[in-house]
Amino acid sequence: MKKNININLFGTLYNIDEDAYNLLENYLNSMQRYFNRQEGGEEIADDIEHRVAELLWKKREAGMTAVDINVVKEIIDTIGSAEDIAGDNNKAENAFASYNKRESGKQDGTFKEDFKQFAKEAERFTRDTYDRGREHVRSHRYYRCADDKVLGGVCSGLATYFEAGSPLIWRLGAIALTLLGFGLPPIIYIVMWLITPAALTPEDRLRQQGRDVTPNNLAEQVKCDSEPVVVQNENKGCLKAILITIAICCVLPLIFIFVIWGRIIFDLFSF
Amino acid sequence: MNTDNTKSQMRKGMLEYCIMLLLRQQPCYANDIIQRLHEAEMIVMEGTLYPLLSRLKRDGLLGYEWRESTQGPPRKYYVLTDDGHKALAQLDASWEEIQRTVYFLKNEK
Repeated sequence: MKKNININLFGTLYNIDEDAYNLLENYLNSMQRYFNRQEGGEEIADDIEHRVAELLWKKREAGMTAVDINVVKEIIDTIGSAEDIAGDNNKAENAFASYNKRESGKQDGTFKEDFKQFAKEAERFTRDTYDRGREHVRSHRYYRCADDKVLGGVCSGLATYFEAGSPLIWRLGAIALTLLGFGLPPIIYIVMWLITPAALTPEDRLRQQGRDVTPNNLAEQVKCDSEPVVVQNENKGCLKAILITIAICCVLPLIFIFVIWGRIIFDLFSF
Repeated sequence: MNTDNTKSQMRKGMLEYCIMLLLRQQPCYANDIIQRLHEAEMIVMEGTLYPLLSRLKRDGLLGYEWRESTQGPPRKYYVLTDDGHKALAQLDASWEEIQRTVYFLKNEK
């Protein structure tokens, strides 16, 4: 059994399942936010809403009684697939990479040539790494993960940003650093918690993953967000307890360090 | 060589002309446009259509009027304005040019 909502779309009433309603609302909202940044955007969003109404009407004419989530997904698939600029760029990059590979595959016998080849490759590797790093910084934006967190979602945010490791590994790393770092990591953690935003909207989550905010990607993300997430909750409570214990333990050494620094500075100036 | 990008660029460039062509005969609303393009085997993603229509309207080439419908929500019928007809005539001419160029280069010995 599912909770059912009545919606009025341009004068026609539809019965819509609650999950389908949430998905549809999310989709229309994100379309609105996306197009709002360009001229005449409000009207475009309105056109799309009309199109949704039109497609729903057709479905009803074909015998649909209540709008379920699959109908909404189908509609998003129909309308949402706009241009995928990111895809085009990737293709060009891949072609370049395969050309590079072919070039570097050419072999020369002499040691000098080998060394030259090695130097060239090392240079290319450095340049590639630098370019990739710069590209990564350009395309990705750091957000805390609002939906996968133990304390503030800083660690899962880092895992997403760097596209490396699971949040759990970052959390364990943070704990290890805290134990080694005499109280500085928790301060960094708290500062990051305070100054970085949490990923709340589908747009945030796209930027967090370094994907372009296009209608197509947005539609995909909105659909993806609507899927029930299997959250591994079992070790979060335990982690939280460990973290809080560590945080308390760290306050003591920290005070100790400040006292020592205070003494040193005091001694220096008392000459 | 991967021709996908070139093909999609060609289609993108054509889309505007195609939409104006099909509006020359009669006013259409979004559903008509999508259906006619589909019949003409012009592959187009719906999402790209609305920004394009909105831009043509801002440029003064298209106008629209709302018509109530007994078959669903009110429909926005797009019409070609006088400026639109003039622009379309120019596009016709440049399409002829493109065709001539391609024909010439294809048959060059």
